[in-house]
Amino acid sequence: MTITERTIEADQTALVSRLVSSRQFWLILINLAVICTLGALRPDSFLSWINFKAVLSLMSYDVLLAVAMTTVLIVRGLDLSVGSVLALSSVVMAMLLRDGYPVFPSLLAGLAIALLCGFINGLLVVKAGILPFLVTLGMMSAARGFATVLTTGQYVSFPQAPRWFSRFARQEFGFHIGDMFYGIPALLLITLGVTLVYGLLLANWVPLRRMFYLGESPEAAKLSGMRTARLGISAYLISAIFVWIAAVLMTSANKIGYANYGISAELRALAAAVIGGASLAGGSGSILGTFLGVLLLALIGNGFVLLNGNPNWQQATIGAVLIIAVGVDALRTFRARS
Amino acid sequence: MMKLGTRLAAVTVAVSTLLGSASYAQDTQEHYGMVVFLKGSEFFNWSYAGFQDAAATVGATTELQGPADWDASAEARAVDQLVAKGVKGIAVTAGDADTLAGSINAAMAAGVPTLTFDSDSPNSDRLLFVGTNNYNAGFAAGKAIGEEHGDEARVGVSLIPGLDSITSRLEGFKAGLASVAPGAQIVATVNDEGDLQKAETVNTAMLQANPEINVIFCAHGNPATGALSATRNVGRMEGANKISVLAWSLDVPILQGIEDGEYGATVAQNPYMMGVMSFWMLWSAAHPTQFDSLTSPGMGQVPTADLDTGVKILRQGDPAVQALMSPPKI
Repeated sequence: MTITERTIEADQTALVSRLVSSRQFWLILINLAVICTLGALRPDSFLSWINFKAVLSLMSYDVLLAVAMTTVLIVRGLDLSVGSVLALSSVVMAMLLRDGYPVFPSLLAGLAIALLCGFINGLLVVKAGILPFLVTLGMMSAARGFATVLTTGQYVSFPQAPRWFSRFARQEFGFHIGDMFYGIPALLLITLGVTLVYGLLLANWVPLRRMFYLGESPEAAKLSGMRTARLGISAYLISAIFVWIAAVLMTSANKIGYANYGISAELRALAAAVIGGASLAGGSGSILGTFLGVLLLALIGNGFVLLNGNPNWQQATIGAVLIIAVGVDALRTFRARS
Repeated sequence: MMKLGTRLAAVTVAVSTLLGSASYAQDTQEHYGMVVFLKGSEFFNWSYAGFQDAAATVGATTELQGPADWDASAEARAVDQLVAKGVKGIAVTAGDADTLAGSINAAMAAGVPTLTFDSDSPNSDRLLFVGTNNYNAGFAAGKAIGEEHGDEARVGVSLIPGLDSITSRLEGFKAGLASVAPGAQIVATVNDEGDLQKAETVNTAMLQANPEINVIFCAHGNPATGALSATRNVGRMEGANKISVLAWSLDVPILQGIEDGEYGATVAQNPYMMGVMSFWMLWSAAHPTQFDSLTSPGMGQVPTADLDTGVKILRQGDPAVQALMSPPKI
C-alpha cells in the first residue's frame, strides 16, 4: 500500500467516522426507517403523492417555527412565545386586511408586531438578564391574550382583501408526468427556500456563525470583543422574522386570522430543534437537523393517524419522543463536560 | 306677592311629586346582570341580546359584564360586584367551572338568584344550567347525518379527547346515527388538539388512510376549516366523491361556507335562546309565589333539571344562516 493509498483510506475512515457521529446522519436513517415501515404497513395511503405533499406542506409552519426556536437555542436562549406571536401577528394582519388596508402595509404591520415581541424578549433576556423561560412564558401569555382580546376569540376573515393574497400560499407549481400533475404548494416552496438560504448563511456567514460562539461561551465571546448583547437580541429578532413568515403563510392558506393559531406549537418547535441537534445549553444546532426533526415528528403523527392509532395517545407519543431527545441532549452535554 | 309665593310653592310641590314618582319608578325598576368571558364575541352578544329583549318585556334593565378574554377570575370579580350592586339576578357563563364556584355560591347565599348558561359550573350552588345539552345536540347531528347518507355514511370524527362535553356529543352522535341508519359507521377518530392547523394535518391523514370516509364530524368549534382544507388536500372538496363536513360553529366564515356549499352543515346552538331563558329563570326565581323553588328555598320556582336550549342543523338555504350572519352589536 502506497502512502497516497494510506492517506485516502485514512481520509475515508475519518469521513465515515464523522458521518456516523453526525446527528443529521442518524436522523436521515431514522426518517428513512419510519418511511420504510409506514410504506410497508400502509403502502396505498402512505406512499402516495397526495400524502407526501400533505405531510410536507403541513409541516411547513412547524419548520419555520422550529428554525425560529433553533436560532434562539443557539445563543443559549429559548422562545416559548413563537406560537402566540404567530397568532398575534396573524390577527393584526387579518384585521387590517378586513378593514380595507392594502396587503403590503398590513403584512408590514404584522412584521412590526412580531419584531416588537422579539425585541422585548431579547431585551429582557439579554440586557435585564431574566431567564428566557420566564420572559418568553410571559410573552406567550401576553401575545395570546392580546390576540384574544382583539378578536374576542373569533375568526377574522377578510373577504374584501385582494384574492391573490388568500390564494397564494396554496397556489401550486409543478410538473406533469404522463397524465399526473405533481403540484407543490407555494407555502412549501417558500418555506424550503427561506430555510435553505438561512441554513447556508448560518453555516457559512461569519456574522451568523458568531451566534454559535456566543452560545458556547458568552464570557469568551465577550472577551473576544463581540457585541454579545446586540448578537443575542438579533437572534430573537431573526426568530421573530421566521414566526412572521409562518403567520403570513398561515393567514393566506386559511383565509382567516385567528387568536388560537399555533397552540402547542412552541413544544413541537422545541422538540424538533432539540431532536435536530440544538442544545438547551446553547452553542449547537443546525437547520438541516431541525428540518429532519420536524420531518420525524410529522411522519410519526402521520403514521399514527394512518394506522388509526388511538387519538388519546397521539400527544403522548410526541411527548415521549421529546423526552427521549432531551435525554440524549442531556447525556451529550454531560459527556462533553466530563 | 303672596299669590306669587303660593304659586311658586304649588309648582315646587308638583315638581317634587313628579320627580319623586320618577325616582320611585327608577328605584323599583328591576336590574339583572349577565357575566361572560370573551365579552364582545358574537356568540355572547347573541345571548345578551336575548337577555335584554326578555327583560324589556317586563320593564327590567340589564347590564353585561366580564373580560374580553378567557379570564375566569375576572368573571368571578364581576359576579361579586353585581351582588354588591344589588342586582335581582345573575346569569354567568363559567369560563372555568371551579374558579366561578365561590362567587356563585356567595351570590346565592346573599339571596341573589344566580344561574349558569352555555358553560356550566356543576359543583356550585347555581340555580340551574341553561344551555346546550351536549348529548342531545350530538344526537341531532348524528340523526341528520344518518338521514342524509343512510347506511352508506362512513364518518371520520375530529375531536379533542378527554373533555366531558365532547365525549357526550360523540356518544349522542353515535346514538343518533344508529337510530336512523344502523348500517352507518364511524370509521376513524382523530385528535386535532383544538388547533385549526393540526386539524388539517390529522384530517388529511385520516382521509388518506380511510378513503371510504364520506363525512367528517367536527365535534367542537375549531377543526371545521382544517377539516375542509383536508378534503381539498385529498381532492374531495367537490365532485361526486365530495366529503361532507359537519361543523359545530356559528362563526361567520363557517356560515358563509355553508351558504357557498363548502360545508355540508353546521350544528347551530341557540345563544339568543340561552339569554332569553336565562332571564326568565332569574325573573321567576326573583318573584317567589306560594310555593318556593324546590332546590333553592326562599326563591321562586325554576326547573329542577337543566334547561336544554337545543340546536338546529343548518344547511345551505336555511334562512337562519343569513339571520345569524348579522350578529347584534352590543
